Amino acid sequence: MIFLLLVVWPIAMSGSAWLVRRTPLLATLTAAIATLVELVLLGRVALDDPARLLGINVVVTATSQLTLGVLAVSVLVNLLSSAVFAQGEHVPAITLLLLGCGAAVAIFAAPLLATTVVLIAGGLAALLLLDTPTFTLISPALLAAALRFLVLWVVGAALLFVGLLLQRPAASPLATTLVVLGWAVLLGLFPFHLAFPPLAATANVAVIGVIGGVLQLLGVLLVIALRPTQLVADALAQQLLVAFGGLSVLGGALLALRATPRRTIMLLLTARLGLIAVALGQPTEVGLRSALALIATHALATALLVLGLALGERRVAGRSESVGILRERPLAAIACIAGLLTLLGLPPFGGWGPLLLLSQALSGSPVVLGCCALGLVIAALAATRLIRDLLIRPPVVATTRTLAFDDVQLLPAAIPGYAPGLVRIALIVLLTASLALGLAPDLLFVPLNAAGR
Amino acid sequence: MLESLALGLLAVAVVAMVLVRDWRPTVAWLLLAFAGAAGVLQQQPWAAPEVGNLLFAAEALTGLIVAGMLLITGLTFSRDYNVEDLDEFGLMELRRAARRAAHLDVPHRANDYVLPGVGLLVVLGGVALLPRLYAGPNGVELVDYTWTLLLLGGVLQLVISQNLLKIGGGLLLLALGLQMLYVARSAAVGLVVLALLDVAMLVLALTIAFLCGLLYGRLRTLDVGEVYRQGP
Repeated sequence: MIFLLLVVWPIAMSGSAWLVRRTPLLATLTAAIATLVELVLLGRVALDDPARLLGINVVVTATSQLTLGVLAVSVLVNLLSSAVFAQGEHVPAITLLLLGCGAAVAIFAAPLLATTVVLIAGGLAALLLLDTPTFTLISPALLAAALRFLVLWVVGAALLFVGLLLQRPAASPLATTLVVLGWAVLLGLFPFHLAFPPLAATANVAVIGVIGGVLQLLGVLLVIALRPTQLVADALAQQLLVAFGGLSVLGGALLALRATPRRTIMLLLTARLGLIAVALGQPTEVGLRSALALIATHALATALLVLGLALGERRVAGRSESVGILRERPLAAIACIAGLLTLLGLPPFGGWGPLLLLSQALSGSPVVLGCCALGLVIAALAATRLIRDLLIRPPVVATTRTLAFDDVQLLPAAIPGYAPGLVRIALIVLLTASLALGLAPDLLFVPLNAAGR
Repeated sequence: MLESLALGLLAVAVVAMVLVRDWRPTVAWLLLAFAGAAGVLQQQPWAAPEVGNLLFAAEALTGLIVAGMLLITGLTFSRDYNVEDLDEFGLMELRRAARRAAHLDVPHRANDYVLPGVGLLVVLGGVALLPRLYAGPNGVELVDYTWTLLLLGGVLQLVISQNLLKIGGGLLLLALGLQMLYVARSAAVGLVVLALLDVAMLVLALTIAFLCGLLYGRLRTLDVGEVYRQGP
């Protein structure tokens, strides 16, 4: 029963969120409560206890429980940002549908069914990316990026589907290659990352959270769900995943060196995802543990970066700012810097523990370890440049007024703060979590040890 | 016999979808492709008659809904200007644009069919070879030609299309091909997966319709090239 609830509950509640979509706060509250209930259900599910649902084998392993939990928390952060920063009215409903897709991928022990669900999630995500507030003029660049994303996602899912089916009656190198290519396209690994940076550059800031915190985690969840059947016994699949991961770490970091701020963030996330792919490509327990730890800190860093960037870019009537975000909006700057440090694995934030585990997992592969280390150094340079451009450099004040500009808006009775109370609380929680994981890594390692076994 | 007929229908529909440049006939050919796929599904040896009929009905219904969505989208977002709302200067501009357009020899040039034609030859070669190279446990069956035709045809359609509705048609052909592949190669065909693939096609059609609406609202065209010209 609880398996069925895990999938059906968010989908049913998305209907409720859609019905009250005209009242955005109520819709977001409904979706947030539904996500919290999903987390409770996930905590109560029996691990490694197979059952039958609709004639299909279902099981929740500790790894899929952890990844789905991280995805659900990311959904919560995205819902929070959709409540505070203007987004389309369908965002809560579609986000819940994506959570339902994640639950289906996590519990159904059927690779083809999971791939089909991911295909559906791609279509829903394209709708979500384009769901902007009413009367917002959508740029052609955003439309182009969304179309590119949709096509790449369908092609990725198709490659995976074909690869999985061609493995019958016996596995072949072509089938394995197709499977890993499908994973690489779905995760947005280099050189299949083409859709994500333009989306991050042109869409709402929260889209970075949707991509990094929900979509890419859904892809990772799919890899984890299929890992026992595909990766543990197949050396070619491991090598290909490590190759794509290594390429992503280096390629993502190198491209980030010369990109605009939003693209830089997306490319740094791609590099980080490359590390996760490298870790998933290791057939050892340490490799899996490091992958899970990297996933948790990836979601944490994404949430911090998205909230920080959104606060930094938020237009507040009456605020005239002449110096950089670092001095004008310190909370936004702290969130961005903490997110970047978590992403790069620099103490005292929580990213260094997973990297330490990864280095242990890669102790037998010095070339891959060297690639990852080089990629991290380049990523650190890109992050430094990002901090300079985004946080320290004074803002460029527009000399021409846009059509949406209204002088009346510039005459408030009191100047409001740039960070709503809810976002302040969320940022403090996230910062505390990152610091806690950095100062006491056992908080992460103890549950991971159980999951890895 | 009926399965061969369905495959023939499917082949005609895919070839026509690739060659036809206008989106209107594409929708009709897409519907025909769904009808062919439904016919192939119904004739599968593992499906009892009642299951076969159910699959046929489900596939035909999905095809009708998907084609209906694309048709309504196309008709809604390819309307001409409302002439009655234009002033005399607007009408003058419109007449001038019409005169210019009449002199442009855009449609039906032989060169426009070179790429689709060559692509179709490659696709047909692939359809003839791939099922033999990657034969299933029971050897080459008719349904193997179906999925190779749909998958390769879908990819070709994606590569050569400039119109958003035609790209949507390519994505739907790909999804239909996945369904046929599943039927052909799965050890035990699950109705849940088939149903979810139908849902995936509906979601894809919905997304394409939404994209068409946004694109037309912004640029007054469904030409994808225009999006990239006016892009970043």
